[in-house]
Amino acid sequence: MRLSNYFSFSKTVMSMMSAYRLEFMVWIILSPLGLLIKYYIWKAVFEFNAGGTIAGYTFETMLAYYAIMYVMGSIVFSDEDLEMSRSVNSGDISIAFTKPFSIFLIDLFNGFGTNIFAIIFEMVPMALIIFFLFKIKTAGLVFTVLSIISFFIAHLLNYTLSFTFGLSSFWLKDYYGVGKAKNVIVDLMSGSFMPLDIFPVSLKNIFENQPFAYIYFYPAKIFIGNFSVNECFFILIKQLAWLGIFYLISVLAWKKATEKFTGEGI
Amino acid sequence: MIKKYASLFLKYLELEILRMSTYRANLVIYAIFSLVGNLFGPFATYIIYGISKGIQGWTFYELLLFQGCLVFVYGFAHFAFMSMTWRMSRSIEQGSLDQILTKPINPLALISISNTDIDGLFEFLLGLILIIYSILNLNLVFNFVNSAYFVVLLICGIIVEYSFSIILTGLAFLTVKTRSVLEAFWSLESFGEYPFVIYERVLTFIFTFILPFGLAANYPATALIKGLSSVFFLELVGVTSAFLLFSIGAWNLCIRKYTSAGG
Repeated sequence: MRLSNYFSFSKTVMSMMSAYRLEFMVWIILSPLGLLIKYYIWKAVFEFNAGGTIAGYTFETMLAYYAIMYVMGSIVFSDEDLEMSRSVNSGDISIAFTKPFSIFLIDLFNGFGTNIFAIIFEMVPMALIIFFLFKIKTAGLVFTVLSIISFFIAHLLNYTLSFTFGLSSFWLKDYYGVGKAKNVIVDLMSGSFMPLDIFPVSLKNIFENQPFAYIYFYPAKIFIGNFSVNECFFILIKQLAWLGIFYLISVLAWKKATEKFTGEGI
Repeated sequence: MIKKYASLFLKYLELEILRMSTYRANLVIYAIFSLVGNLFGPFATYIIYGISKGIQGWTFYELLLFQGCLVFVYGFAHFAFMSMTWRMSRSIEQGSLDQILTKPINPLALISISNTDIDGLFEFLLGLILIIYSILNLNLVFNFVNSAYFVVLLICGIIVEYSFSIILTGLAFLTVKTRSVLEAFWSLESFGEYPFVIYERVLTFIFTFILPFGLAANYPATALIKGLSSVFFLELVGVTSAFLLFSIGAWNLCIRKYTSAGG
C-alpha cells in the first residue's frame, strides 16, 4: 500500500468534520478567552514588578509564547488516545485487523483530516484574531517558519504519544484514568501550562531535558526568537530523535497489546 | 421529607461507589492525577512568587489561601452535584431522562441528589488542606465577623456553582448536545481563578454581580484576609440568593419546553 493512498482516509474525516463547523466557531471565540486570562495575570505580575524582564521574559515575549501555543494548538492536537480506547472497547479494532493497512498510519491520516479541517476553520481565523487583538510581535520570518516546522514535528510526537497511551485500553477496562494522567503530565511537562525555563533551577534542568518539552516549549521558544538559527536546527534534530524513540516504544507497545487482544472487545 | 431525600442521596452515593469499584485501576489513577491537576494553581503561584514579587495586594500564602478556597468550592460542587451537567446531556440523548420525569419526586431534587462524583471528594479534601496550611502560615487576626463572613461566602460560592449547574443542565433540555455550552462556561469560569485586582473595573463588576464567579474564591479569601464591609457582604449574599432563584426559574422554563428526543 502506497503512503499516498492513506490520504483518502484524511479526506473522509474532513467531510465528516464539516458537521461540527458550529462547534469550531464556538471554540474560536472561546479560545482567546484563555489567552486573555494569561494576559491579565502576567500584566499584573509585570506591572507590580515595575516592568523590565522576569526570568528572561519581557511582557511581550511572555504573551507571544502563550499566543503561539494557542494558535498552533490546531496543528499539535491529537485525540488518538480517545479514538484508540473507543475502538478497543467497542471491539471495532478487530475490523481494522482484517484490513491490509497499518493501523498506526490509518489513524495518523484520519487525524490529519481533523487537523487540516482545524487549520482552515480554527487556526487561521484564530491567528488573525489573536495577533490583531494582542498585538503579538514575531521575531522574524525565519523563526516563524522554523517554529511552524517544529510544531508539525510536535504533532507527530503528540500523535505517537497518544497512540501509545491509547493502547493502555487493551489492559485496563476504561481509559478515563489514564487519559487524565496523560493530560496532566503533558500539560505540566510540555510547557503548555507555563514556560519551563521559569521554574526553579533544579526543576528547570529536569523539565528542559525531557521529551515532552518538545511538544510545546521548544517550538514556542523558537517562535519568540530565543535561539539562534543554528540552535533551532539542533532543536529540530533532537525533536526528530525523540520522535524516533517514541515511535519505537509505540511499536513495542503495539506488539504487546495485540498479543493480549482476543477480539471480542474489552 | 428531608429524611426521604437524605436516604435517597445515600443510596445514590452507594451506587456511585459501586460503579467506581468496577473500574478500580482507573479510579485510582484518575484520583491521583486529578489531585495533581488541582495543584497546578498553587504550583503556578509558587513559580511566580519565586521569580517575582507576585501580584499587587497578595502575598504568597494569601494567594495560596485563595486557591485553597477555589479547590474547596469546585471540589465540593464536583463531589455533590456538578456531574449533573454532563450526565444529563447524555441521558437526554439516550432518552433516559423520561424515566426520571415519571418518578414520584421533584425532578430537580432527584437530579440534584443523584449525581455525586467520588473524584470530587478528594479535591474537596485537598482544598481543605490548602486552606488550613495557608492559614497556619498567615498571621491572621481572627475575629468573629471575618470568620463568619468567610464561612458564609464559601457556602455562597457552592450555591453559585449549584445555580450554574442547574442552568447548564436546563439548557441541555433545549439544545440536547451541550458539550460546547459547557466548554464555554468553563472558559468563562476560569476568570474566577485569579484575584480580581488583575482585572479592569468592568470585568470585576461582571464577575461579582452578573456571573458571580468571584464567590468561589475571591470574596471568601478577601473576607478572611482583609475583611469586607457589612454592606458589601450583604450584597454578595443577595446576589447569591437572586442567582439561585433565577436558576430555578430558568430550570422551570426549560423543563416546560422539553420534548423527548432519544431513539
